Amino acid sequence: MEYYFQLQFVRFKRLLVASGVHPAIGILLILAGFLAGSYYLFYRVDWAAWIFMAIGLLVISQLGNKHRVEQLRWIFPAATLQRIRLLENGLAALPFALFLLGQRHIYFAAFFIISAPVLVFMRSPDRIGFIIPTPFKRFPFELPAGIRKAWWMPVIIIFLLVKGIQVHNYGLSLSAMILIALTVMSFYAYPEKVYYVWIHALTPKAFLKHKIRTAWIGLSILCLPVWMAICISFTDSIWVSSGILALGFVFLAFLILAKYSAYPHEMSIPQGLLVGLSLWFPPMLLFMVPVFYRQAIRQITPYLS
Amino acid sequence: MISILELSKSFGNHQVLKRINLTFEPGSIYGIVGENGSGKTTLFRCIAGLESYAGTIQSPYPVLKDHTGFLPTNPEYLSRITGWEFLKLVCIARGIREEAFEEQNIFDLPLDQYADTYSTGMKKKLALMGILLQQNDLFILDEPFNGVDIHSNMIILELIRKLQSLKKTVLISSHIFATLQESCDFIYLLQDGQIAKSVAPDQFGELEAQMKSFVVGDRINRIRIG
Repeated sequence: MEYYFQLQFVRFKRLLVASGVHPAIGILLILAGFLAGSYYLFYRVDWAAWIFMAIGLLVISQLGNKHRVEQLRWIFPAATLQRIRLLENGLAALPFALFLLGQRHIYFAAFFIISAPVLVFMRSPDRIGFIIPTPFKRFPFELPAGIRKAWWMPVIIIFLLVKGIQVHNYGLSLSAMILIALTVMSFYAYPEKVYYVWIHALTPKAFLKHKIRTAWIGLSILCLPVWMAICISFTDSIWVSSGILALGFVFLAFLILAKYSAYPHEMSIPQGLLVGLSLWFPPMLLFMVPVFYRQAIRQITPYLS
Repeated sequence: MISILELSKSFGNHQVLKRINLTFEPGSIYGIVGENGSGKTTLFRCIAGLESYAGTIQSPYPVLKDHTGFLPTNPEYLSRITGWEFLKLVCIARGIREEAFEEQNIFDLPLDQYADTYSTGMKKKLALMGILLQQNDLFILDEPFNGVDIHSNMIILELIRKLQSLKKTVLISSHIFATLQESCDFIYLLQDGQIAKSVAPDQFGELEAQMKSFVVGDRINRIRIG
């Protein structure tokens, strides 16, 4: 088990080197990014603890993905596998829990610490053979696959929306809409296999347009009911809600361009930082969208011509 | 007609394909045989446009890959996508409005189940269904009979004959020589990245005997069994 964690650390360092960053600098950058992003969230948003916890749970749930666990099961005996998974979830939960404690959100931190090991024993519906129906059957593949991966997310979103309306907390309700946009963006975070780009009889430009159009349809179907509920409940803030929704559409398109700008590889750390900076400071999009668009066209052209 | 002219491919210093020249006619079936590592899959991936290469591929289409159906040896599926959704995806990719997949489900696949949970043979049959529904003109089938049950192999053989009657071009690689003998109009032997031999049907038996004596030789006697 000790060797497994040593190996994971070696793999992580190799990933940083492959991304063009010295491991020590990469680790420092990640730590600084985590702290800066977290402080910014708590500084700007009074309901930040909810979002912070949702992001943390999303990160931890990624460790329990089916293929990963199957690979571990193939290598380790059941008892060792369970110990590894518990330790992995604990390690991933630690920075989030410590930050929550530092912000004096003791109940959130406690809930988080309890949730981390509980997630090891939770079985996603597809692991017990249940196929989750989605409204996106006709829009494969990112939307139906993403919805099934984030099957538990609607519970959090509905809770945030309903609670926000109940206590008349605009920010809390708005966080439900932001969480939907972030979830849909996460569907487009990783590059698909080359075959799934190659099969398209489209020019690179038409391919990107098709991907963005499909993503926007998905975001509209998922976000518009929540946006309407917010608009009806908080009539004074219709323009703010609409502006944030519009920004969600822009960010989603931007993320798709960013993903294909590194295709067929995952985004490097410098690219990821540029994406993060653009999301933090949206005027940067005016410069970054054309850059990522040109890079995306260049990267996918070999597979579409 | 599709013409391959002086096609070469290297991975670093290792040259996998060396100046390949081939011509494929519509309505014909071509078999490619060769040992593991002889370059069959690389040749297929170059023709499909999945690998860069030196040389030229001429075809009557502006973009050949948009008319090509490629069946990989081991099709890989996206997670949490059902068989139905996979078929929908490959149709959308070619601008085909098709949804009647159940009635065309010739292999009786569980289309409402996740494709990545299918068995090896089922994965291959689903990928084959996908490229058939795309209405391609060139079919590249890399080991289509491997891992597939005998009943489905019979269906695949009939499908290949149907494609021939529809004037499609079919390229097949297979380690099962009998299946190529039954279906091909021509067989090419790929050795060390070069076309070592082109064989017409009347010489298929001779090629098989030659391959057997070359490949097997006295190898069996070299291992001490029992």
